[in-house]
Amino acid sequence: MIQTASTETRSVAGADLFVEYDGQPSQLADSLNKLIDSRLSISTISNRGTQVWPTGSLFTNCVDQYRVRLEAQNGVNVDPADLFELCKKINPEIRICSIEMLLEIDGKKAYSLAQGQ
Amino acid sequence: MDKYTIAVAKGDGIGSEIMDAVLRIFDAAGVPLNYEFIEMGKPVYEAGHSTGMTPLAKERVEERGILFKGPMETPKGKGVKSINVTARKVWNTYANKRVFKTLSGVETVFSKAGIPIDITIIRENIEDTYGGIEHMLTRDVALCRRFITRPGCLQVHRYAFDLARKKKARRITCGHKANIMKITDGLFLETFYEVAKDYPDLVADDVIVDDLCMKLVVRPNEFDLVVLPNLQGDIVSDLCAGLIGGLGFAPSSNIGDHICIFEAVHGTAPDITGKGLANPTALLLSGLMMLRHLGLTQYSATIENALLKTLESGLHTADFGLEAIPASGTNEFVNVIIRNLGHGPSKSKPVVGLPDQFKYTAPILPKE
Repeated sequence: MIQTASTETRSVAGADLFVEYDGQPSQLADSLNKLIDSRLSISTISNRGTQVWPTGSLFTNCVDQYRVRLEAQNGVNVDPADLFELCKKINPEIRICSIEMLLEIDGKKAYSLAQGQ
Repeated sequence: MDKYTIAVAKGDGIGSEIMDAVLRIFDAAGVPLNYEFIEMGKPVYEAGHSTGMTPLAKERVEERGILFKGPMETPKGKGVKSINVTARKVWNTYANKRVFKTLSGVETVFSKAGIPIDITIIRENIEDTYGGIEHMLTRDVALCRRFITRPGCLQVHRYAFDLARKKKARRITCGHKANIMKITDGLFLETFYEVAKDYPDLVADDVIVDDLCMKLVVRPNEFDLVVLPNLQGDIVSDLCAGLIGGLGFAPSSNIGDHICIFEAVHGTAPDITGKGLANPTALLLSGLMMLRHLGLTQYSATIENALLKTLESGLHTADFGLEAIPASGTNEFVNVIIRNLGHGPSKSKPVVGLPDQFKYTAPILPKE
């Protein structure tokens, strides 16, 4: 295995859920908020990388796949097991295409912002 | 004619110098437009707007439907996104149209060899790795997601085919890497031929992007209109700019159904900012694309002919032209273009504009 030595610390700040959905971003946010407990919140929803919720432009064209970014409130670490439990609740209602964990490495975000975020 | 008002963002660095220069030429030619100046770019980031534009600026552009913009700088290392990319994506300008034409007076290896170049690149402008969705997966592994969608591909291909038909293109070519990325680039290529079926009058073919690059630098005049995915289109369009003398001569427009952006794609040139040396040609040519888009074709032709006459006279800014002729500053360059309004080039064919027919209406806000 090729590997670089590292002394960094890392934690999970949340997850990006890529979901199949053909409605409006605000409807998606409403549906998901009913399933999410208070430890997590939706920080942004994007479509093809461009933020469409909480703010966005009506001129952005959307395809039938959104990225929902769930982040912990107040910088608390997230237990991946809790995320998977949540996904089990979401998937029967809104199909999850893929999940990407949001890492913080040495206290810095190791993931990019959405366009327009 | 009533004057239509467009949104103008001057940009950072040399942006305001070249934008002022271009608008001075427009005014001298009597272009029937009003300009509403909006705030975008570096000062807006510095004021704490992570998107690089104020909510008011966004509102104005959405109201006017046309944005004419100078080059802008994205602060590095702060995690903020490029304003140039954000603007294109937020307003769904799905096609980036760039035209690369030999200009008499701008010397290149091809002009010296007597090979004229006239290539149009249509770059998909929303998708691909430009979604900028990136994650570290482990301490050693980074991932960038690459989205290619069927509706996105169809949108840009239809635009490209319509344009090819309108300009009576000899050939429309799809550049891709579908031999390796069979699903993503495969979808881009598959939809290209799907759309081609509706345009049986056009010669449509495809070429793998690496082969395309080689052919472009060897025999650029073999190509007429080329459509490419976002990242490949980004690279190939700069390659084409190199063929005709650099980004200083390469206009760019971002076309959407509601909002269009016309801009120079070169940098902000902080090293010469404020010195009055900047070359306004690319922004001027982008502005002429905008005038033609608005149906102001006569105005565009008059200004283009004056520019061509100026360039062929050997007058140049410091970034190009013969060393034997001393370089002019931006002001002098613009003054001569203005003086040449009403005249045309003698070494190349003057541009003939169709009768003006202003044909633009402000965007209608989609309901959902």
